[in-house]
Amino acid sequence: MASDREVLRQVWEGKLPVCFSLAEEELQDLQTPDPFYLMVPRLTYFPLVTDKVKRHFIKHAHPEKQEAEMWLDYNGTPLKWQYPIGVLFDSLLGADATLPWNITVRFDRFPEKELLKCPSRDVVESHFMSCIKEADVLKHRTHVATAMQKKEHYQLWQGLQNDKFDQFWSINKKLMECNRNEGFKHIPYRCHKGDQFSLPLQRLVKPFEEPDCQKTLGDLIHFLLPSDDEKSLKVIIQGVEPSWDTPLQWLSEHLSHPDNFLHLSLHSI
Amino acid sequence: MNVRHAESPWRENILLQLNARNKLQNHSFQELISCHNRIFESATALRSENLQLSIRNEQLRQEGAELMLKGVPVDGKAADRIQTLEQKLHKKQEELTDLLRGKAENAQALVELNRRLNEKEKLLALRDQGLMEAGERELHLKEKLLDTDARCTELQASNDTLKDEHYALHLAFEALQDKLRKAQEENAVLVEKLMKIKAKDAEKLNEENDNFVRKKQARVAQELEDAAKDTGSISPDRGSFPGVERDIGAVMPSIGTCLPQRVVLRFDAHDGEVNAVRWSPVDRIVATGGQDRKVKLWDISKVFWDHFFGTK
Repeated sequence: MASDREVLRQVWEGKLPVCFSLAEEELQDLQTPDPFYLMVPRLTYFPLVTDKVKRHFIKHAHPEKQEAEMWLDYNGTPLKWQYPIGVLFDSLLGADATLPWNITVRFDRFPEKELLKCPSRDVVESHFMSCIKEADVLKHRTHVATAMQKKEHYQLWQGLQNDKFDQFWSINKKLMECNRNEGFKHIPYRCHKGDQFSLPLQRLVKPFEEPDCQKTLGDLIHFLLPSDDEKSLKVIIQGVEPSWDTPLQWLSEHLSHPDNFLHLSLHSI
Repeated sequence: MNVRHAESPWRENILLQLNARNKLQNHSFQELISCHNRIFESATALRSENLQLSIRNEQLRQEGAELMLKGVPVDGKAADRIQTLEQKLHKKQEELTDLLRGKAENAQALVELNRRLNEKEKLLALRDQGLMEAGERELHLKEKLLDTDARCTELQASNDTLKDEHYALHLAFEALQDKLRKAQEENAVLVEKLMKIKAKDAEKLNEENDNFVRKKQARVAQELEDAAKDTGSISPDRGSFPGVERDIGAVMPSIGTCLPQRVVLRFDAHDGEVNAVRWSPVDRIVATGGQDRKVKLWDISKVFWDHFFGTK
């Protein structure tokens, strides 16, 4: 059971300062538009917070490209909107990056091969709900998410969209329920190695090796990357580095993102 | 489990790290960025305000320049100029009042003229109406004229036919008149003949009558002579027939002196005097002759005069 509200609250309140600026090659005026600063929640997705950013920059963009979809990149890497912002940050910059996070705004030359189009918030919603269902299948097999009412789905989405902790968790706690001794069937997680978002490591992992013997983060990393030394690796979850002996079940319950996945970002030291 | 977790060092570690993370990434920037955003918004607002003000400024400057152009030569002989200008102004004002007065008069005249115009228009409308009526009447009359013409031609035609008829009838009449004249002539001839015949007849009749009368007279004379010879034998005092003698002596004392005492029958036979009356010896006819030169034969049984002829 995800009962440690103190931790959950801290996780929920994680925000990142972001500095948006228009790509230099897309400047139309002589005057450079002022950069746009924004505090973005770690748990949300970029399309949900960048409306103001688009409004700010669109008048400076090329008139013919103003109808095009806005996309973001950091240091030449296009940012995939389908991952939570915190995951993108942890994977691309690591824990000790300099803040604020400088992101370039672009309208021209949409990288069709790397990014998915996101014409509206409905697309984000359907992606989010599908993630929740995928995680639910891994955790329960009993399809808790599919048994839920449409109203509850909507409440989950609204809670995330409007940054409402209580609204979200009053429903999400149902998804975190499990047998006290066995935990989840499997832990839903995605392990991002460095900035390689294309291939997150995913293999079925049970939270308990034997009854009363919980698997830890160290076990998981060893299971996924048996060849690498634990000491040469750094695992970042929600912007922190949990110790290797942290139980997986607890991590999954408390440090998962709203899509119910535990996103691990691996960095080699 | 929670209790155990709460005690466990990895949880403390994570919580600490989360706190540190939020302190570093969140709290330290929160204020800064919200402050930045506020400043950003106010800067935008100020920029738009500035733009408006600069536009306003530009307008005011332009106005100022115009005013400057107008107000440049206000110095030196300003007082004189002002005075002359005031005088001019005064004059202009007077002119203006005159003009206004004129305008008022004109307006009145305009009103009057408008009124008259209206009247004229009304009159014109009346005239138009009259004209229209006249036109209608004219049209009507034209129609009538046409009708009349048609009738006239008809009448002419009928007149012609009548004339023809008349002519034909006249011809017929002439012919008939000729015939009549001939017939009259014929008639005259015939009448003449008839007259002659009648005269002859009359003569004959007269002759016969004369003859008869002569014969009678002769007989009477004879009888009288006879009677005269027998006078001795017959005497009224003889008494051969006493009864008879008395009666005859009472009634007719004398045959020769028997005169009518009263009128038995009376009728108008002739104009003027009746000269002769005579019984027909054979028939029940009386002949009368009068001063009107006519001889009339009367049928006593019928009372009416039957025939007459005169010598006209």
